[in-house]
Amino acid sequence: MGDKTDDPLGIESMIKTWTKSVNDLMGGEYTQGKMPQMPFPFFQSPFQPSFDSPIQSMFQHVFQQNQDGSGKTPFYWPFQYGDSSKKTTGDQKDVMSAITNAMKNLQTITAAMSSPESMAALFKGIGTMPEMLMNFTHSTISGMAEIHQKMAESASRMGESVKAYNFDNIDKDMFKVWSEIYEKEFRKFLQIPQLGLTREYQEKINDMTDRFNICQAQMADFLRILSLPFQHSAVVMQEEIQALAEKGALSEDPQFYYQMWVRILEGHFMTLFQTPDYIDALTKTIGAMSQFNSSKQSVIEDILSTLPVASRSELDDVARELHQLKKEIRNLRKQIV
Amino acid sequence: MTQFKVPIDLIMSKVADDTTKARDRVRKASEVLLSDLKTELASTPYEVIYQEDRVKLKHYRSKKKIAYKTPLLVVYALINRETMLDLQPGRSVVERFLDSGIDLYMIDWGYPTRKDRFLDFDDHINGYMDNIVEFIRKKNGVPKINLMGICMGGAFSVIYSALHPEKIRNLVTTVTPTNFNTNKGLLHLWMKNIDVDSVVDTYGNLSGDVMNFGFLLLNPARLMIDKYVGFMENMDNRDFVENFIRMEKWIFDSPDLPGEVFRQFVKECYQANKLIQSKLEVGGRIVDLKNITMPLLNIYGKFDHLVPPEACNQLVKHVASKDTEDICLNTGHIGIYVSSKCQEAFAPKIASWLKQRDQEPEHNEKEDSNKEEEEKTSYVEQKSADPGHKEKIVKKTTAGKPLKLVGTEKKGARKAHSAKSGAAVKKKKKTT
Repeated sequence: MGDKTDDPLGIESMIKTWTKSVNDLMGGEYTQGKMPQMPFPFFQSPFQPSFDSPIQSMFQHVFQQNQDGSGKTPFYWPFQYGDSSKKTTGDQKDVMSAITNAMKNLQTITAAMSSPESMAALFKGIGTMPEMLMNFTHSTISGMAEIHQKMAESASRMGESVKAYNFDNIDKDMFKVWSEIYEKEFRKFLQIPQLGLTREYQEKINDMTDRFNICQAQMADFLRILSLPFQHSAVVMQEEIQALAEKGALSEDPQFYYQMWVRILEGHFMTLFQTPDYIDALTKTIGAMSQFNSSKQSVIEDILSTLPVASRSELDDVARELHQLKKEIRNLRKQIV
Repeated sequence: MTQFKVPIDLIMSKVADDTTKARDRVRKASEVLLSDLKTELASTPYEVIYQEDRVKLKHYRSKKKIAYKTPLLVVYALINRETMLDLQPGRSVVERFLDSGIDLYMIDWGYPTRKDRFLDFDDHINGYMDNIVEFIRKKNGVPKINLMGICMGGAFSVIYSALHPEKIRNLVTTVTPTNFNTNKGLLHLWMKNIDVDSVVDTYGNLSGDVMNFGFLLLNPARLMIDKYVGFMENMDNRDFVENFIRMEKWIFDSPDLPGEVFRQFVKECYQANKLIQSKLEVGGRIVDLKNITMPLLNIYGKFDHLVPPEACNQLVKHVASKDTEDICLNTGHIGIYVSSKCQEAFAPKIASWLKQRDQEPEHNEKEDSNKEEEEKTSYVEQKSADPGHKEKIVKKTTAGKPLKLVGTEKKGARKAHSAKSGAAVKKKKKTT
């Protein structure tokens, strides 16, 4: 399980096995570039059970029963609607041959799947899943440990004195760690390329989830910065009260302390709002919110396209055209007057 | 370690007293809050005499005889509403203007919706504003009107006056940002880096609630905490409660800002500072501040945290008007219009300034235009020759009440300037 291979999901191995099975089935001609003309049997009783290899035998039975060796085996509808002895002609034959080929492929796949090599490859592939989960869990645990470490570091600094009206040493790492871990470790899972018919929709949903996570992380960081003046004010307030106490000038009026606190808090906010850290956080938060909203809107538009209502972008197009028309009319009117 | 004696017993005793008072206050407050409160805004009567899309033109009915030949059009910002100028009887700039005999018109920008997101400066200034000015000119049969702009509306008025100087007789700008290259106001700092394209492309219009949240963040300690503590302490006072609720109604009555206006305002003004440099382009035309030749009165607040004095006080230096006046009031952004003390100074000052220029005969433009070039040249010479052409002044109102104005003014407005320019003209003639 822990082996590092170039084929973690066992796909390559499975294809090799499948190719080998096809080759065997075709009598070794496939590898020589010759496609054999395999006769397709009349499908009389496909569901005959076989205890040896049930899936394989289901199709093998059909093949074996109807080979006539001529290479031009007629095909009849397996469930015998109408006269089963009647031969097909023209377009009907094309359809039948397509189905014949499909059935042949299916049989080949089932045969390949049941071979010991394929089963081994499949189990090997399955075995890689826990490995992925382990990596994922490892990332999560190490990330959480890092957060705890930062929290512990921050906690250890709590006893240090706070310099009033100074935000030069904002503890940036505390909440940014999560953003970094998310961007390095988790985000890539949402950016795995999607396949198939619903590829585009799935990618949009993944993008929305990704933007939401980034927006939340950014908001958390922004709120943390906004909470700093409260923390600093509380400490400065204690220092001021201590200074008053040393002078013996403590007031008996609670209003005095409230006014002092508001004044200190206001001063801290005013100082904070001019720091590059705050401006950077504000700009990033607004950007993250915009990007999440844009991504969300894209998903909503897809949903709305299935409903009999106009989407926002369609209404915007109408408004834009109306605006241009009004502008032209206004200019024309002024030219006439 | 030093031991301090904290009078906990006295503090607790005071808290207990306060608790008793608070209980009484809450009882009285419930009576006040449950009674009929007069909290309506904008009660001065007016009629809507023109409407285009969401934009309306209000014409105020005056009980007094109109004493001015030239009507006044007030252009408010697209942020918040013009009702601030008419908060309540006895505390209304509108009322004071009407009492002075001004024929008063005011633009109500309405509430922009999603379909208005593409409206830009050009649509508002060369579209709505110009149509309204035309309407007033025709209605009153006057070639020019007086224009007064407030905040962003002031910037619009400056742009309009530069693009259509032939339609404006006097220009009054109040708390109007024109120079955005300053780090004094927090908005100026914050707007420098914002990715406005992302915001506008995503949201369309800028939500009024988002803007309000931004304004609250300018001073959370006062605007989100202390203000409501103050309310709790005074909620048994009917007058206080009524005034407080009126202001709350006004503050949070915030229309959305059309997206393209926001984009243009941030990119062209806050980030590129094009207006004061005469590089701004609106409707395919450059807004050249040298086209502003009409008298200009520029008023702003010393403690304005949204539009600091540095953002306002550069305008007079960049226009070509010979008659300009800068006034800096000891107040903030809103205080100019709502504080009782400032209203006593602000509205009468504007009324008297306009009155003075209303009585004077209109300049003969043809004659003036011949002199224009000479005077412009001489004025530039005078300014450059006299680096200390600004001086601190202390003014008095026309009513004689002392005002605490901390102002700067172009040295020698009007008469003094004419004399100087005359001398300079002579000098220029000699040299030429």
